[in-house]
Amino acid sequence: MRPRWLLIPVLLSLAGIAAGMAWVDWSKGGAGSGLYSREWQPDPVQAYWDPKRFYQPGQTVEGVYPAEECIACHEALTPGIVADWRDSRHSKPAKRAPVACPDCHGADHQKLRMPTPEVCAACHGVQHEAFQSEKHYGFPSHALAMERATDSKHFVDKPKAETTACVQCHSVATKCDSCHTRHRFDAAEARRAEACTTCHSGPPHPDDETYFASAHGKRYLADAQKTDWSKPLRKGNYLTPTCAYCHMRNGQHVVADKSIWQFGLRQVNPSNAENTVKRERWIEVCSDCHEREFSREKLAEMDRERARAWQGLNRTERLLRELRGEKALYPAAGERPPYPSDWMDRMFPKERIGFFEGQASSFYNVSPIERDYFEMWYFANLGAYKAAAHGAPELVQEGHAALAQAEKSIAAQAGQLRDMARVARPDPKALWLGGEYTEHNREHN
Amino acid sequence: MRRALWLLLLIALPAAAGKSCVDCHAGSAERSYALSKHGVIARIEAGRERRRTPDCGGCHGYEAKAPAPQHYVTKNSRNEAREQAGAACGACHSPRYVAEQLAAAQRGLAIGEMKRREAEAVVAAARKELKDAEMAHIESLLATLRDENLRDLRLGLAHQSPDYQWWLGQAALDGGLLRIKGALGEARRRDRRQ
Repeated sequence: MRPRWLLIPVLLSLAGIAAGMAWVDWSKGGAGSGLYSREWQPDPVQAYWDPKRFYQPGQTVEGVYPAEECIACHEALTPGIVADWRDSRHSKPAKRAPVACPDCHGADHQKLRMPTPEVCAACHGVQHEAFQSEKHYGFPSHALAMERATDSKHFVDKPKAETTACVQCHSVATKCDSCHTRHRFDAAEARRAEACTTCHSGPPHPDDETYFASAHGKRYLADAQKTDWSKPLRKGNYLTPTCAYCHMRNGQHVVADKSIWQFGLRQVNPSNAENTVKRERWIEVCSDCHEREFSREKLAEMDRERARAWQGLNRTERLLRELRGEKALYPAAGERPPYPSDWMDRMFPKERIGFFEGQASSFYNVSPIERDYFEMWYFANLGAYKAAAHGAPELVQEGHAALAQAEKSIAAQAGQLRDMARVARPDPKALWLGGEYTEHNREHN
Repeated sequence: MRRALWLLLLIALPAAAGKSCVDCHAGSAERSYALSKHGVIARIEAGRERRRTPDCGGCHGYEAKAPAPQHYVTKNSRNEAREQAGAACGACHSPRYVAEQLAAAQRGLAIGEMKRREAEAVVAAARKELKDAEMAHIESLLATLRDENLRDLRLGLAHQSPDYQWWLGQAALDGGLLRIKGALGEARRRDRRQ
């Protein structure tokens, strides 16, 4: 028989687990959303990007209305959206009554709802289920975009008036009209390459530039206006692939089943068991037009590009860790604003270097050399990766030139920081902890 | 009033269909619009009979024949421009939605202005302490922050481009501000050593 005292640690850990779960539950009960919901208040406009959590109906009009009356009024008030709806399949489906205003928004004008994916799922269940299934693949994925955004430290920390653009793109998880814009909700629109570019553009993910610079993209630009986009995304229907053709095979609402996630963000082994399976799925897509060996070689080329990028990134990251060890970073973590809501960061200040330390939040309140490394990793490196993945060799070259330039400049700065650290280290706190925005940020999140 | 604006929109749209606006307003102005949902839909549906989304003229009330700088009906003041653009939004969006979006844009811009003023205060301090040769770099950082990053933020907010609001706007302003502080900090260290 085992001694009775063994029960004590078992009971304690059970109580600990229960307390932990209760704490997580409690922390999700605040005015915001997610793990830090008690730390922030949403900007009013966030109601439109995450309607399920934040939308409250307006109180201007009273009454319960059938579709014809909605249309009669809104034809005059907001003619654009009524015309869009008339052009949509919702207004004239083949085998059923039209899907009209009250079907999605409700009929009571004081209780109108802003439709969420669950509302669309009443008819589009297959698409909704596929979309939700992305959650199994982890993040980044469309389905987890909103919760992972609002759970990130820099989102919680920043004034919410500053983060409205974040939630606009991350609302791809909480609304269907990111891709099928209201009130036409056209599948053909989402098949087009431009449809993705509102969010898939800019320094960390130039998917638009790299795709349009590729042979696929150039052909798309030449042919787009004379192509029939009403056809399903299947083999033989299109002459050149678009974002959705490859990333959403056969129109399936999953983008996470093939992509090797975080392939650009951290050093990933593309040949492990899981990624080998994903590779085969890619080659299957390419084989709609290309020979398998050709596709395999193209993907191997991308792996070589990644290996080359990480040589430079690893060297630079090691250098930054050395500087941190030598206390040569200026200002150091304790000498600049911490995340106001993060007590660990306040108690034990530490510069975040590398993917696993939360470097994705290190673009403000850091020393210039850390910001330079952030840009090298997040802008130059991801630009090169996207170019390699989308087949734009000249942009791969451009990305690697930017990486080399950043490495050189960071190395030169490191030399100066080391020289200076030996001779003078005046307290930089007054410069870094004060200032109008810095103080505003400390008070508001 | 609404009908008059709608009419104006219908007249202005075909006029603006050519390349005339972007001939002068290439770069950030064009791209921040092209990446917005309005711009994306306009690009996808170019050539269709009914335009779903406004292009430049749809909001700014552009009269194609008038020579610059009078070609903006809305050029008189920022507030008037905002009102006029707000009225154009009403063809598709509810007054509440439009008001919320415009108010959010103003709050976002106010944050950007705070960053600019903080940067300017640091630069003002630097001007008193540093020699001209040391100031050149800091002045160029401030110029980029003011003339590029803040402009991109404003365009991103007005045109509803998340990329311009965030990466080229707010996050770029953050980078400019910390580099200005860093440059002054390093200059002070060098002075301490001498």
